[in-house]
Amino acid sequence: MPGILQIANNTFFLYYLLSNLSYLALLIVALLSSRVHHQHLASLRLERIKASPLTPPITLVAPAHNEEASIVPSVRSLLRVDYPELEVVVVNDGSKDRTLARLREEFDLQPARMLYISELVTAPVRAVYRSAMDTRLIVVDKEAGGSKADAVNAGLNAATSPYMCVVDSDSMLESDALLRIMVKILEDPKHVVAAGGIVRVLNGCEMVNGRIRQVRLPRNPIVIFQVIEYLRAFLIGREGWARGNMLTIISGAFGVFRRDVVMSAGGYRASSIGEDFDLVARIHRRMLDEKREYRIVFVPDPVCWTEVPPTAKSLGRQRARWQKGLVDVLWPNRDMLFRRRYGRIGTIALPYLWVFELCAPILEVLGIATIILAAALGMLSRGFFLEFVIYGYLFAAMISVGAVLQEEITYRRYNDWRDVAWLMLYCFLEQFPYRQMHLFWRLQGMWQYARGDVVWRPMERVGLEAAASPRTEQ
Amino acid sequence: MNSVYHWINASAAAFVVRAIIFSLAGIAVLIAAILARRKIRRRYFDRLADAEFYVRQHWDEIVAGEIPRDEWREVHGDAEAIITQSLDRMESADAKEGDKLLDFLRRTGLLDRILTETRHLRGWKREAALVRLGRTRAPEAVASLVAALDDPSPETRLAAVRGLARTGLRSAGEAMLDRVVAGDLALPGTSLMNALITCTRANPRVLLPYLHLARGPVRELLARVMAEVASVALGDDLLLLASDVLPEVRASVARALGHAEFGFAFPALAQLATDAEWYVRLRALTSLGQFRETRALPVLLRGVCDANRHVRQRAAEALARAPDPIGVLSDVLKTTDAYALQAMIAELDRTGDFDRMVEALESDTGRIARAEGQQLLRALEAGAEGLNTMMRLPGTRKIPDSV
Repeated sequence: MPGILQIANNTFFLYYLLSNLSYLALLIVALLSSRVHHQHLASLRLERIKASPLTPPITLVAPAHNEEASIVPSVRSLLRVDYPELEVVVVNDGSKDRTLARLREEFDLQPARMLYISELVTAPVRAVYRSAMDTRLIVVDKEAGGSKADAVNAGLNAATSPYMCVVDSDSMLESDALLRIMVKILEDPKHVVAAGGIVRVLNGCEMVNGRIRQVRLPRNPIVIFQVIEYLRAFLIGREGWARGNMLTIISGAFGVFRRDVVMSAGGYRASSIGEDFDLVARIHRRMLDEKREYRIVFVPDPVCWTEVPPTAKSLGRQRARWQKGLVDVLWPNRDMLFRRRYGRIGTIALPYLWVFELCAPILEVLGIATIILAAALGMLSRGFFLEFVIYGYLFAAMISVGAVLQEEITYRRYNDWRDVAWLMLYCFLEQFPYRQMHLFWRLQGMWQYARGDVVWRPMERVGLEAAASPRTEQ
Repeated sequence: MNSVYHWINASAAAFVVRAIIFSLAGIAVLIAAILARRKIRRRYFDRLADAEFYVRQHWDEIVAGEIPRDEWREVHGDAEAIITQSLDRMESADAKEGDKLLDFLRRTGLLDRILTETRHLRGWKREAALVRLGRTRAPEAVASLVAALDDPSPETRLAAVRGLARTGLRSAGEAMLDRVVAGDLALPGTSLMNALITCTRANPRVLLPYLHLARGPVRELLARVMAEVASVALGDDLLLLASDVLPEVRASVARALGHAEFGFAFPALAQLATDAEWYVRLRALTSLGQFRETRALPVLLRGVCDANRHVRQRAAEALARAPDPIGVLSDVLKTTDAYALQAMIAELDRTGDFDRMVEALESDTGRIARAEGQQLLRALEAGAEGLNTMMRLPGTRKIPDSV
């Protein structure tokens, strides 16, 4: 028993060390690559892209399922996106609330005479409408398909542009977001098949007429923790992985894809739980199988603001679902692991996800249990145990502060020094008990997946404008 | 593995203590960086705002030389603010005003000051100076900027390219093209392409010899630049490029021909409309559509039957704008291509002309024979119905009042 415990403790120690080193490496890579990106931004001329006759059309696909609270401001903000040839396809995925009625009232929808070919199989489409007020807006009304993927596929069938961008209905694109994200695509249109932008937390910001007037940090601790998580995930994680063309996820809230590539990959897998991650994994697989040169990029300056769960309960649901999505993608793609054909994706990115994302909750719980057991059996010095906890705490806090610094030296959205002070404070508060709660939700997700519980549980939402207003944060 | 475990057992405690110190130091450095950055930025912008306020108040006197140069020259903040003001004003100034401001920068020695900065400063300060030098649009700036293209630092080279782009001068474009074609200048991102576009837009002919010399990715880059700047000024060279091996070049020609005389452009555009690459056909049909010429109709009708959805869509867009839409619709029907008809109907619906077309056919204005009108009307309605059938939608479905 002591021998086994010793080996377990050593393995856990090694695991933790590797995990921290990989985060540190990502932080350093991200700091360097965002510096380069920032220099390129200085010579960026968005007007030129806007005026260029070569800028390709884009279809924004916004799936909506019972989104009556946020659908109108969300669609308005999509129509206000500054892009020369834009089409907005909203898919009403069998909503039982007044989502379609709200759209009809606000946008004067009329039955559309347009070609809709079910290239991707979806739940039956009931009707396709076009707005008489703004002919760029198309609404596909379909029966509920039980997943966001099914709704997006219907939107893809209706889309007429060579590029498509999926946007969540509880999210809002900044007006120049598409122009900015297209810069990376236009740099190398032959090879860049997908690009992801940054998703930021809308809660707490001041919003007027569907636009953000002032970016503010909310005062709800659950939301502040998520702000730090988003900064860490996008400004460190995505930025770092994209540097080596190893981006395995483009957020479902904001990503541009070449439509032909998505169609050839079979569109979104309707039965998937993490449809965004699943699609990117299938694109990687297809491209590498066909030995095609391609790139999936991350662009940190185009912003999509999204409403995040304001309560622990809804956040728990979301995180459990994310974990289920992770299992749901990694398990079917396990044959890509350590295969030469799949290059860096198979040898670095996917193994990392298996070890440090998928198995992390299990390993962490096991690690904690063995350490406690070893301490109880007197095999572990109390001093060392304490030092190890302090190290873990400080290192994690350092990475979070690094994410805040990255935000500060690059995009600086939180202008008020009090917001930055709060952010830094929460970098230290995140470790107890939020981290443990997070661990529990992820384990819960894995348990639910193992039991076959993959039912979609909707997130409670208050709507974009209500979420943005600081009043709702009280 | 055993050796790793042995290392852990032997040195874990010491390592953890060191890691704690490292993490603490890391946190301290990161927080200090955040605070210092905030503080420095604030001080810098406060000082800049004060200087700019002074300069704005006395701008006319400064430019006219009524306030002696010595009064502000040695005050660092004021001189900086004057340079910034001059460059900002130059960007929106007409040629006469721009020349006046450039003359002011020359007379006061400010241009020399920037030139000196580009040679003696290092790091980001030099990069900022290079961009600033480009913004002066002074011909004498080009040599210094070109010299910086040979700098070993990629950031400096990028700044030099940005500076050259800001000049917008032909000589700047040629200097960059020389290096690009020789393989001495390659930068990631769109900066180089943007710079070449800016410097060759006024005279796209500059690009031609380089396009002939270039090979591989460089040629693709130049083709994309050409796609942005190609104009009728290229004359017969444009027609030669219409049979280039690179589709990007052919697409650029197709786009440029849209601005030429119809008689000159039509044969080449008709040929490009049958190109193997879909985006070349798309550009050719878009250009043909801009002319609104009946002679282009057969080519557009072929385009609306194209196998590629985007090409069909563009051809339909052009056909929907044709002078005689009813005649065009009749021609589309004659193609007996269901996808062509549906593309046409979808386009009429998108532009809001579908109902107008139906009304026109029902009202029997005498433009076409009644029987033919009725036939078109039936085809149009059947086509629209066909779309609904394909989607399995009821043809006259109304939006439910309540959902």
